[in-house]
Amino acid sequence: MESTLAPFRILLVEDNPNDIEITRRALAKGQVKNELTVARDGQEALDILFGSRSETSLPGLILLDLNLPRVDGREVLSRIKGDPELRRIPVIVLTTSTREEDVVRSYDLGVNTFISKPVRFEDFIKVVTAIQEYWIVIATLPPATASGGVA
Amino acid sequence: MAETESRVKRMTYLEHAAAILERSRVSTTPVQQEPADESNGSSQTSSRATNKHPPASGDRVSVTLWERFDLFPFVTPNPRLVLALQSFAKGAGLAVSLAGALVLAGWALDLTVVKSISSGFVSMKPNVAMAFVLSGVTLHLLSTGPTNGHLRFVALASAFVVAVIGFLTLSEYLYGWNLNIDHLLFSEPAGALGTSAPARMAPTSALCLFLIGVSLLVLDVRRCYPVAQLLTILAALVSLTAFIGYVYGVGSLYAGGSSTAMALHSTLCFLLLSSGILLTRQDHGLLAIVTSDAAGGVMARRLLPAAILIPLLLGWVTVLDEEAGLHGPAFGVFLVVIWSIVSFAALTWWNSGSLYRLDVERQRAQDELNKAQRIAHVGSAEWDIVTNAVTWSDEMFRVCGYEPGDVQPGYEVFLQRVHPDDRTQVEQNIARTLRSGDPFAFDYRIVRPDGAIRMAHGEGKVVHNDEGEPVRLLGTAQDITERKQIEYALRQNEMRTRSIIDTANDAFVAIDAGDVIKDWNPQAELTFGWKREEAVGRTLADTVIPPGHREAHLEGLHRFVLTGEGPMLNRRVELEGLHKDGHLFPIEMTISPIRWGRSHIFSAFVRDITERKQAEEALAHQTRELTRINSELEDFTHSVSHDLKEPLRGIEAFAGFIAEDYADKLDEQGQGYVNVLRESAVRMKDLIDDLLQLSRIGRTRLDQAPVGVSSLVQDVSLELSFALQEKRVELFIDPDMPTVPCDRARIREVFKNLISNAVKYNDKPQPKIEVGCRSDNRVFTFAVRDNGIGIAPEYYEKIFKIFQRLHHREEYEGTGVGLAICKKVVEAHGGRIWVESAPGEGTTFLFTIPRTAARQPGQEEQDGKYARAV
Repeated sequence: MESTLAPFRILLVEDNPNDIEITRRALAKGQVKNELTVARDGQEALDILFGSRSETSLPGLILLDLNLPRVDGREVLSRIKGDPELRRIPVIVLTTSTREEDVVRSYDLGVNTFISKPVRFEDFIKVVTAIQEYWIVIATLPPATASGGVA
Repeated sequence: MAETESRVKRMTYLEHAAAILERSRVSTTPVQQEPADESNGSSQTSSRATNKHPPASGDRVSVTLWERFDLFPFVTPNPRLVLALQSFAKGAGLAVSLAGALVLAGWALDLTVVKSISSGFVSMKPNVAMAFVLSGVTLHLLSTGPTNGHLRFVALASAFVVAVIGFLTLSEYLYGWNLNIDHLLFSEPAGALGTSAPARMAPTSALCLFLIGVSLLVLDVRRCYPVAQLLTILAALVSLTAFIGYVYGVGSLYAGGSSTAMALHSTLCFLLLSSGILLTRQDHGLLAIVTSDAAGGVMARRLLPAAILIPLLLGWVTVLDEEAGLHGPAFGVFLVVIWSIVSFAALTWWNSGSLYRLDVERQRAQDELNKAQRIAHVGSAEWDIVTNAVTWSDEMFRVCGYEPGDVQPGYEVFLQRVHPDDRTQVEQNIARTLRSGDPFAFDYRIVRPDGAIRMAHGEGKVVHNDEGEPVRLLGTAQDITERKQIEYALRQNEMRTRSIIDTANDAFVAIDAGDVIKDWNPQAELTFGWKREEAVGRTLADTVIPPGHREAHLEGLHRFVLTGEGPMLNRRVELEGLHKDGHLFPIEMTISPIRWGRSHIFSAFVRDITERKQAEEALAHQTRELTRINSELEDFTHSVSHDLKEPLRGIEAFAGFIAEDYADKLDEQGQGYVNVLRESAVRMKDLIDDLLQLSRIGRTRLDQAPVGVSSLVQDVSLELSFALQEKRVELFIDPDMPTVPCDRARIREVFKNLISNAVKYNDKPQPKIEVGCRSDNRVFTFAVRDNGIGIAPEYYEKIFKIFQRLHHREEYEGTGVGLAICKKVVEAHGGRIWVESAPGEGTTFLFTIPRTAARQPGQEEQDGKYARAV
C-alpha cells in the first residue's frame, strides 16, 4: 500500500552527523516511505525552505534541532512560524535539551511537538516511529503541505 | 544656779553674735555694739520679751535706757488720732501764748482780773506770763511738723529762755539771792497777796518752767523722748497739785509754806502746756503705746483719762460734801472708796470684755497661723536683737525635730541643728543680712536630734528702727525635704533620660513647631558636624536638610501644625542629610510629634545609613552576581549534560548498529562486549540525568503549594505499578495523610525514590511497604516502612551521600544519587530525613515537612522590598 505513494518529504535540521545517521536509520526502520532532506545548519534550512517554495518541494514535516551553527534552531522556528505559508508545516523539535526554558520558548514560538532525544537507540526508534505514526498516518495535515507530501 | 547658767548662755550667745559680726568684718557700727552693750532694756520691755531669764545688768552696761531706743518701737499709731492730737498740741501752744500775753497786758494795764482772776487769788507774775508766751510759741512751732532751721532756732531759743527763767528763779529761792530778774518787766508792790518777794514767781512755777523748758529743749533729741516726757509729766503733776488745791480750796497745795503761791491760771496754763508737749510727740517714748492701734493703745486711752479724772472728781465731790458739812469726814472717805471701787470695777469689766474678745481673736489668728505653718511645714523664728529674746513658732520646733517647748529657743540651739557642713553658710547669710539689711534666702540641712536629715529652706529679713538700726531678725524655716526628694527624683529621671539620649547611637534632634532646634545630642554632633551650642537655636531646615528639600520640610511642618496631618511623621523615612561640611549622606529618620502645652515639639531620631546603604548596594550587587553565576551554572550544567549525552547516544546507537549490521561477523563474546558498551552508555546517561536533577534542586526555587499527600503517593504507586506487581509488593498507603505546603514534583520524586528503594532492596517473598504520616504542631513526619533487607546503623548517614552504594551493581541497580536527591529536597523544604532500621527486619525512612512553607532565598529578597515599601 505505501509503495504506491510518493515518499513523504521530511526536512531534518541537524548539525551532528551521528544524529543524522541515527535519525536516518530510525526513519528507515519505520513503515512510512519518506524522503529525507538534511540541512546542516539553520541558514541552510532557511535557504531550503524559503528558496524552494516555487518548486513546491516544501517538506511535509520538519525535524528541528535547537542548537545549530550559524542560525540557531529557535530563530529558524520563529521564521517558519512567522511565515504565513510555512507556518502550516508541522515542526517537531528534536533536541538533547530538556530545559524547561527551551520547551516553553519553543511552544511559544508555535512548535507542534517538543521531543527530547533519547540516548538509547531503541527508544529513539520508538520516538521516530511514533512521530511517523502520528504526523504522517494519523494526523490530517493542511493541503499546502499535503500537496508536497502524501498526495 | 539657773540664773548663772542663763547668764553664761546669754554671754555665749552675745559673744557669738559679736563673733558673727566680727567675722563679717563690720567696722564700728551701732549694730556691732548693741547686742553686747544693751542689757537692762529687756526688763523694761517685759510686756513683749519672751526671754524667761531677764538679764541682770552687767558691769559693762553703761548706756542708759533713755539714750537707747523707743520703748514701743513697733506700734502703729492711729493716723487720725495722731492728727487730732497734733492739732490739740498746736492749739494748746497758741492758747498758752495768748494767755501769757493777756496776763502781760493785764500787768501793763494793772487789771487784777487778768493778773489774778480774782482779788482773792495770787497774781500770775510777769516772768511767768512771759515764759508762757515763749513756751507756748515753742510748743506751737514744734507741733507744726518739720520746721525750717530759723523757726526751729526761735523755738529752741525760747525754750532755753524759759528754762533759764525757771532755773534762775529757783536759784533765788534756794540760795536766797536776789538776781533782780523779777522786776524786769513789771514791778509789783511789796506785800501782794500770797507773794513772798514782790513779782517773784512761785518756786513751784519756777520748777515747772525749768522742767518744761528743758523738756522742750530736748524734745527732739535722739532717744530723749522719754526724758522729755517724764520731765513734762513731773511739771504736770506739780501744777496739778496746785490746781487741785484751788479746786478743793486747800491752800497748802498751791502755796507751800511761806513762799509765793502758784496762780490759778498758771496751773491751768502749765497743765495745758504739759498736755500739749506730751501729745505733740505722742508717737514716741512713753506716749507711743497710748496712741497705738494695738490693744494696749485702746486700753491706755480708756483707762488713763479715767485714772486721772475719776479720783479728781471723787475728791472734789468729797471736799464739797465736807465743806457743806452734810456728812462727816469718814463719810467722805467712804464715798471715795465706794465710787473708786464701782468705777474702776466697771472700767475693768468693760475693758476685760474687749480685751477678752481681742485675745480670742488673737488666739484664733495664732491657731490659724500655727495650722498654716504646720500644713506648709514653715516654722518662724524671731530674734529680738535688743533684748536677745528668741521666739519660735510651734512649727519651728517641729522643723528642728522637737516638740514645741522641748527646748529653750535660741540661735545657738538652732545652729546646733544645722548640718555641720552648712553651718558656715547659714552664719554667713545671717551675718550678711544683719550687716546689709538685705533679706536672706538659702537652703540648708537640718540634723534632727534623732539623726534624721531634713532639707530646709530659710528666709529672713531684718527689721530696723527709725534710726536704721537692726532691732529684730525675722526668719522662717521651711521643711522642703519632700519637695527636694521629688525634685531629686525628677532630676534623676531627667538625668536618666538625658543620658539615654546623650549616649544613644542615633542622633537625637528636637525642634519646636517653628522648626527651631531645641535639642541636639552628642551623636547628632558626630552625624551632622554641628556642635550642640551651634545647632540649638538654628532652624532644622537650614542646618541639616539639603536645600532642595527645605521647602517641602517646612510645608510639611506647617501643614501638621495647621491640620494635624503628617504623612511623614511616626514613620521611618530614608532621605538625604546635609553635613556641616556640605556633603550629603543617606539618613534614616523617624519624627514623632509631641503635644507640648498648646503647641508641639517634634523629636527625631536620625541614623546615618551610609554604611548600610553601601552594604545594601554591595549585597544587591552580590545577589545580582550570584544570580548571574547561577544562571551561568545552569547553562553550564545543561550544556554539559547535553554535550555529554550526545556522544553517549552515538556510542549506544553505533554500538547497536554494529550488533545489528555485523551480527554474523561477531562471535558471542564480541556481541557481549557490544552490549556492555551499550549498557555503559545508558548508565552514563542515567548518572548524568540524576546529577542534573540534584544540581537543580539547590539552585531553583521550590514551587510550593498545598499538596494532598495521599493522592500524590497514589500517583507514585501507579507510576511504579509495573515494579510493584513484578515483586508482588503489598503497598499500604494511609488514605488520611494531610495536605501539606510543598513542591509537588519534588516531593513526588522523594516518595518515588523511597518506594522504589523499598521495592528494590527487598528479598522477602511477601514484600510489604507502608506509607503513613503523623504530625505535631510544628511538622508533618512522613514514613515509608518496608520489611526489606534493612540497613546497618553505621550506614545511616552514609546512604544519603551522593554515589554511596552499599551493594554491588550486580545485586541492586542504581546510580547512588536517589537518596541524596531526597535529602536535598527535604532540606530545601526546611525538613530533615533519616532512617530507622535493623538489618533483615526492614527499614523505615522518615522525613519531615514544616507546617508552614519554608522561606527561600528568593523570597527573602522580595520580603525585604515589601518591608521597605511599607
